[in-house]
Amino acid sequence: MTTKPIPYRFPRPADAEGWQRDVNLALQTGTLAITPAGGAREDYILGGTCPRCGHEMEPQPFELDVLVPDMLGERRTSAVATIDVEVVCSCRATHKDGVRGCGFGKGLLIAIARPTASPADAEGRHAGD
Amino acid sequence: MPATEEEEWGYWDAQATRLVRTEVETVNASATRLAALTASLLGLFGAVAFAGGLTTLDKLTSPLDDVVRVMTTAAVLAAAVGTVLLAAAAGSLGVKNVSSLNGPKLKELSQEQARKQRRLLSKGRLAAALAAALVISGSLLVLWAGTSPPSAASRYLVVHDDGAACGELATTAEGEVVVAGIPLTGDVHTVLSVASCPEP
Repeated sequence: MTTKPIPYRFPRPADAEGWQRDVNLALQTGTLAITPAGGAREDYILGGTCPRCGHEMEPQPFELDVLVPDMLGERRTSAVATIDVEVVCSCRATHKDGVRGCGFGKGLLIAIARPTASPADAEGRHAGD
Repeated sequence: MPATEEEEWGYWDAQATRLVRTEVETVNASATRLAALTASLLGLFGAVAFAGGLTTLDKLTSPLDDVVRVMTTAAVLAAAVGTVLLAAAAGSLGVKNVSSLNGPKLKELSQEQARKQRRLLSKGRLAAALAAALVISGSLLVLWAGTSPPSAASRYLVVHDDGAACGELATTAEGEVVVAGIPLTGDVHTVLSVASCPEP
């Protein structure tokens, strides 16, 4: 993977649309991927190369269906087809001294298809219940 | 205010991480709040039943007794609504799922939560003020209200040699004590105080 010599930049809210497009493309082409983390919970890991700088990112774990106080809960009437994640560049290349990543992605909510465990993973989880 | 955007997002990320790691505590806290709310609701009637400590309802004159009944009912309802709303404004009473949680998402949800809780607080305050006004005014009403005269003349069942009679206690012109016209003299075996006499 070739890397791009681009400077650190913290995104603006207006960057969300373009970042969503870049992440969608990266997920389609497989440079970004979401994989089950294993275990009994709905844990997943987002990993791959940053759509902006092209450097390998640190794996970013996230969890589905988190229990929160009901006032914080989402107003949903049907099954959720997409989830909101952050895709934050966490590469180790130096874009700004003392800061990890090229700065992009922080604070931008990106909608991705809700990941589902493969049948084998699901069986393994139920067996552990 | 945070010095940089990185610091601002760092705060929300830390809060989101804390929530993800403390799901059990979230459920426990909701259960505790619900238990406290239940106890408050169960104790409400005792707190607002102003006719009882001062003058019992059955001693109030009509129609004041009905007015006090209506005021007590309204006070209980207003206090119940106020208690539930203020408890909800003080902290969530249940738990819900969020499909995913991260700093920006939590910031968004928290802003919405603050608006919801502010609405609950306004409505709860109104209901609590109404309940307090009803209890205070009702208590003053009962405090200054006249009580009804003692109940109708006592009635007695008298068993005498020739049978039994039931009626009011009275005194004849001659100074003889009678019940239903039967003088309480030697031929009377039993005199019983009764709530009422059978209809003829």
